[in-house]
Amino acid sequence: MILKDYLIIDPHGMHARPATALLRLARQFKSEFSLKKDGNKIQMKSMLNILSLALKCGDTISVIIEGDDESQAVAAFDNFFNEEMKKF
Amino acid sequence: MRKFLIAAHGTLPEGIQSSLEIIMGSLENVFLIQAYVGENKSLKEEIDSVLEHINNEDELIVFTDLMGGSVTNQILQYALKENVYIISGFNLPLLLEVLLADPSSPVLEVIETGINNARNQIVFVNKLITTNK
Repeated sequence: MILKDYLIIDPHGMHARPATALLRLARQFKSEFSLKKDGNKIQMKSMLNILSLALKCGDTISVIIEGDDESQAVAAFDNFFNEEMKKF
Repeated sequence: MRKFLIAAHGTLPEGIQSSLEIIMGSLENVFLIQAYVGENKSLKEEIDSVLEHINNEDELIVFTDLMGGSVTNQILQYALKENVYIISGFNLPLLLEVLLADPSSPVLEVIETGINNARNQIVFVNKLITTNK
């Protein structure tokens, strides 16, 4: 299992377009993904569940990845949160 | 293959398609029926045109605007089959949930989860903000 914290850098927070992109990114891997913020933990299988965390710019989100390809997945998530999130 | 039909009075389907494309990118396997505008085709003819693209192995999830409205009633009358699933009272969150669902997830589970999650998206935001203060 890998647990990693990421900072939300988009000025509008985690809104519909990045949430959709994140869901689609997760689906490229076999691992199971969860997001955790302030005691709320959600399975990353629904875009609305991601939005329900109401992540704002400056918030930190914990990503939990479990599965055979978790190392590859975390590399992709690094790129997503650090680079792709700037583009929405 | 899972396919989708958005059917409503007027140009609501085209509008919601635009919203979906902004969020999701281009859509695949999504049909629209915009009742009572444009061509002089009857609703039945429009439904039949969509059904021509649906084979027995496909699943067609139909989103209609109003329970009890003429669009839902005619979809029910002309399209209901074993592999057709009709949901009335759609909103953008429901469409996002269902269209973004894992295609390998069972269709009934996708619909139930989608409806529950989409229902929770109807929120009196002012009240929520006041409560959280």
